[in-house]
Amino acid sequence: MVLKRARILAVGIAVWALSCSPEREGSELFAPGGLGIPVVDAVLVVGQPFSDVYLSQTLAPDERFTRERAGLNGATVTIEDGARVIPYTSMGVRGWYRSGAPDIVQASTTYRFTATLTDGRVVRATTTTPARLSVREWVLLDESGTNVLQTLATFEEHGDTVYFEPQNQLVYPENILAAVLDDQSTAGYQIGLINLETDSPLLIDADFLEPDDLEDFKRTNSSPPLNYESTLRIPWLAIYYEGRYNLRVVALDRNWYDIARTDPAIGGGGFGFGGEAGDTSKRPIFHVEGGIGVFGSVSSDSVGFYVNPPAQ
Amino acid sequence: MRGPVPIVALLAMLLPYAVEAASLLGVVRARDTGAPIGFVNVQVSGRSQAGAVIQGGVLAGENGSYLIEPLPLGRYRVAFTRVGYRAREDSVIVAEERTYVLDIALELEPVQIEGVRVEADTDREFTETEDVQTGFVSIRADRLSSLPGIAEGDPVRALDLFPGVQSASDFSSALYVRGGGPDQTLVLLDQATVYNPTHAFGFFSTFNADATGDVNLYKGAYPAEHGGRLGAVLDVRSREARAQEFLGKVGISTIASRVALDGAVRSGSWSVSARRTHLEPMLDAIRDEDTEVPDYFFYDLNGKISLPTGGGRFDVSVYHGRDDLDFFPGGDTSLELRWGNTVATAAFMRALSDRLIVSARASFSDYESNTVASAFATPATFENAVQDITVGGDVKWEASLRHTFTAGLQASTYDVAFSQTFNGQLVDDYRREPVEVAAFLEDRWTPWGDTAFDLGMRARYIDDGERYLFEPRVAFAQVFRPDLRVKVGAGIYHQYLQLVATEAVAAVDFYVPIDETAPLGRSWQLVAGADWRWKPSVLFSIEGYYTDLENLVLLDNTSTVNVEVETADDLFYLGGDGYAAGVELFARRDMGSVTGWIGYTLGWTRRAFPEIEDGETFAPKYDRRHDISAVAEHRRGPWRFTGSFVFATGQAFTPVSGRYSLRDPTTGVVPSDIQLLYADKNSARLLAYNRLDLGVARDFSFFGAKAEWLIEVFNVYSRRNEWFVEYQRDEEVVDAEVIRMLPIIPSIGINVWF
Repeated sequence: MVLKRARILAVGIAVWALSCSPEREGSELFAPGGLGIPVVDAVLVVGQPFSDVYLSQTLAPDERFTRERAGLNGATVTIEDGARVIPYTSMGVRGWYRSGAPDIVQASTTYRFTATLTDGRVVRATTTTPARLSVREWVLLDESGTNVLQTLATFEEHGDTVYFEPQNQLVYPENILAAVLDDQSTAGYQIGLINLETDSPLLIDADFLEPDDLEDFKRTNSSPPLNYESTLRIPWLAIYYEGRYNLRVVALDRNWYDIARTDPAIGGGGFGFGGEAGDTSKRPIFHVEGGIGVFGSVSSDSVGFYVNPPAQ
Repeated sequence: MRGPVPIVALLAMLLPYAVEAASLLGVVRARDTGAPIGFVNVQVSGRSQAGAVIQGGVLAGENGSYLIEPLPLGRYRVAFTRVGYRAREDSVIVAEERTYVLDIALELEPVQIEGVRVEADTDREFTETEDVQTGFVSIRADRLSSLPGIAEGDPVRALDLFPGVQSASDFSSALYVRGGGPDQTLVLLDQATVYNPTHAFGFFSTFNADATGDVNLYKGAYPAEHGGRLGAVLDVRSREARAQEFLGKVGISTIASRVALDGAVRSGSWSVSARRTHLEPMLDAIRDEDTEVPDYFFYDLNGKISLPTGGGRFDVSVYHGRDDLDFFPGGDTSLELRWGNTVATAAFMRALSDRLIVSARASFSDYESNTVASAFATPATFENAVQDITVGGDVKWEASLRHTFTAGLQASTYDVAFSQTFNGQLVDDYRREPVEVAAFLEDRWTPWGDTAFDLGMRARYIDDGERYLFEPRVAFAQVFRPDLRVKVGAGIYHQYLQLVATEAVAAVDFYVPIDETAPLGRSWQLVAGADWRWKPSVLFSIEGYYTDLENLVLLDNTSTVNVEVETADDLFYLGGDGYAAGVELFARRDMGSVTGWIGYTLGWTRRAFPEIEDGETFAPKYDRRHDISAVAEHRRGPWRFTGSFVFATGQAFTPVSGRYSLRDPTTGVVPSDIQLLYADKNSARLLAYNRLDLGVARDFSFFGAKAEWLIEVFNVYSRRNEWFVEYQRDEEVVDAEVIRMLPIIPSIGINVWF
């Protein structure tokens, strides 16, 4: 009898032990080795002055992250194009550096980035800027996508009043907005959409969503990287709010293109299927020697328009 | 087609009597249904007229037929044994040189009566040198589906209870066999390829247990009659119709209703089975103004007709299944998803003589998946289809006592297409229509009575890329002692049709032919093992395997959207290699008060791709060091108790090791989400997986008809096993959340036979 009870007790203990679904601390799900790695954040824009550089280091995943805390001060930062060296100086904000030179970033030019940290580590990267991008025309296509209903006015023609030009008035979600491109040799494209209002009403019918989900509908969105298409269609999927929009089409250099296509946080992930559950976690492709991040370059063109709610 | 295994030699001792010899043949059937039973062990023992002790055995073919020759004149006892059936003996007096016919009917496995042990013959030994195939599992579908599971018995899901076979998660019925992904296992239904054998996004397989007969799994080093996959073959057969009378079965489980009908037609038989989910009332109950719930159902239909004709046998089998999901939550957002398979096979087999059997076959397999979606007024479609038309034939010729040749020829045309549109724009439009011709030759060579070889060669021609492939196969079995057998198998394999599978959403799985832009995946496999029958009812097995893989492909999820996929090079990471190695231990008890098995696998699986992690080797998610499974069944009167237990090393995952921040150059803003820096691919492990399932069933009379009710409990102690880890990046401190698998799921069901 004692033996039988002992067996039952042992089985009970075994079942109890196996049935535990232990809650693990987040730190148990992190790996060491990813701390203190220098991070470069510098993307040059063709036709613009040299961009500010943000130099930082990686922090632990369970450590509170702010750009202030991650920033690296005291580094010596330069960008050179072979002909001259453009020095950067600290902006007084931790991790930020600014060029004092009035130079403009040139198209189809190779630039080299160097940062020497206070502890002697050196971070290097190189970018070749894309050719200057000019969208041939911004158009509104009919639902079939084949007929042009109207051609949008541009900043060149109308300046900041472009948002209110009659041909730049769109009604959600009617017809298809598109950018017509000339053939251009570039690694890829991205589309950026910025709603310039701060509290305009939501356009989408989101009754079926939870209130918390609405936080995901941001006023600034960018697309995954795209390959060349003669006509880039802008999906209504990216437009949630009424008001003025700035639409940018950006030609990418290889460095940013590789990050954008391989980092799921940015939009990489391509087809969105094929693989094991949870298997999209991966390190993007960086082209930085001595660190991670991006020293890249882009060339962009933009248009402004206004999105009105559908007629009631 | 695997015809009857005409049987080689009754060992070397028979040879002196070959001049005055007869032959013995017949068909083994199930007593209750009349359906042929495959892979029955047929043992002959006795004494010849000359006084010699004669002992030998063969394995019946898939269609239940067996042939023993030469059989010297004499008196013999013939024993028939197969797992799941009561062993039976008969006797035959061979008095003259002619063919003796002995058909036999076996009853389902013995019922344990309290206090009485039911055992079969006590002298079963390893003399079936025919059985040279390594890593081969053959089991009846109803036996598998009677094991406790989730709501609806699934003969394929239960296969992961065998050593060397895993599932990726509780949500998937895809099989991971000996370190290979589901893309490396060929799935056949009546010898026609089933391209997406899933229902409910992969939760269930397409195989309705009521319509399924034998489930044969070649875990590795599979023979030359099969080809096209790097790893394994799952060969599922439709259930043979019950020939004698009109019979039926209806069943209701928690999620589906089933009906199966059998009857006689002329001198043959027919069977029809249907299954459909009945989830709609439950979904309606959940649905209200605040809760949007999709409409979903699946159904499948199976039919088979078998007719003896012209001295042979003609079989036609058909399968058709569909899944249908509609979701209209509002807000210009919707999802309509349909997918399914249609498979039809017509086969004819005829014995032209005692030594020559021919068969011919034509099959059609069609898989289609269509998705129409809209997200906030942005439409998208995804269409995916594979169509396969195959014709072929086999000839099996027992040329001599030592050699049995099987030759086959097969021609297939494929039509593979997928297309995507986004926002009204065609994104991908891919179509290929390749042709493949394959021929194989096998020689079952028995140089000595206790030694057998299976020597095979498969030759393939694929017009896409003008490829000629030669794939040698070899298997060897040696009986060292009556209770000890050693087997070795090896082979080379290539894969042309590449499955791109998604673990959680099998509905969008699609196939891509590996065109001339990439080399074909290639593997060579080596398997060696031994079987030891400790007691007549207890078998121990050990098997080691090594698979070397090269030219693997992996979907390149970093391919940019809006690329017009034209080639395999566009779509895949190429040039991968890897290996899978392991040892499996298996102990099985076929008879007694408790039957079942225990399996253990010690395994390593590795992959490396030049474009992933700088070519560093990594463990795929499904690499498992240890995998233990145990299955038990106990019968007591009208009661049947079943249980299964699984314990496995946690799956690999890629952990986060740091955070950093980058601006978005497209918009110029600093994203509120902070980027995550991941460590080396799959360098961490989830917690070990374990799960206990239990079931109980009881026979009863339902208005005079035989019936049973059953209760099954999946994950009895509701351990929430880990599925994967998700990291939330939009917090100041990264929140790591473990996504878990299924909790306890009880289910009930009832089956009635009439």
